[in-house]
Amino acid sequence: MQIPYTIEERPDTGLYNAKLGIWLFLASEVMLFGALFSSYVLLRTGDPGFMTMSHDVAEALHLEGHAHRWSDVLSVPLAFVNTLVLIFSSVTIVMSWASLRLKDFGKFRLWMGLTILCALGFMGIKAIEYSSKFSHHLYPETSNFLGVYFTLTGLHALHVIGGLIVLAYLWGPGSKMWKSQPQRFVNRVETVGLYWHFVDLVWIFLFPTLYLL
Amino acid sequence: MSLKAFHILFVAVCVVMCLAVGAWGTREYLAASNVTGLGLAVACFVLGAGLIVYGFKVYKKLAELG
Repeated sequence: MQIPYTIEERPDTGLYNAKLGIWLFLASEVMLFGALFSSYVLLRTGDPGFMTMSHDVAEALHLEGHAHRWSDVLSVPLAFVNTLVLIFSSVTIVMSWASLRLKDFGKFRLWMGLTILCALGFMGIKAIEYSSKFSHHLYPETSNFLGVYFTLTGLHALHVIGGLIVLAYLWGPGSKMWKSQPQRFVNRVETVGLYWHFVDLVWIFLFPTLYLL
Repeated sequence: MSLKAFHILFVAVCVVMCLAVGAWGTREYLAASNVTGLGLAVACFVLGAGLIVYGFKVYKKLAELG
């Protein structure tokens, strides 16, 4: 027995199986990140001292000025570069999918390879950020703000790692499907592209929420 | 929703966020002479403008794909 709608779209939903599956998964992800964002907003609005750093800690971290907030320990330039990297990776993944639609497998490999490099670059910058915090003895248990910061960015980084594994598979061994079932392979790339856009979108909201406000 | 449509939506959200962060950076500079804020504002406005141009171009290109 053959499973229907693995390649062609189901007439009533207009979706093939994988696309329906990824949208259901993304809906659950919206709830997961939504709950964490809501927790952050409630903590921040409910606790007047949530963002306030004590004078002793500020002095130990060599922060200048008088009033200090926990978000002052985060690196805005690094986070902005990471934002640029993720926006660019969204462009490259769409280009890789469009290349397959135009039956240009060579360009697909190029664009997908660039997407993988962007994901690795993002993780590299994140590792620099994390190691900088740890070297200053700033851990999730140091303050509630840092607890939220490490939870949200850590969970996001896990999603990037998950995406990176799938991207690498489609770039490498998984790309053999292009010869046997080309349309199904295009669908797979579109599906991972939707996931990747969601992960990027989460970061687009995380950056101003944690680093700037 | 297809990847095509989601990408256009993504670009639109990015443009809005760029403008918002740009406005925040400008305010930071005007209120506290924060040079990082000014740099971020300039970078975000440039990025936002670039994304608007890119958005229109990619919309046309992707429409040709069908």
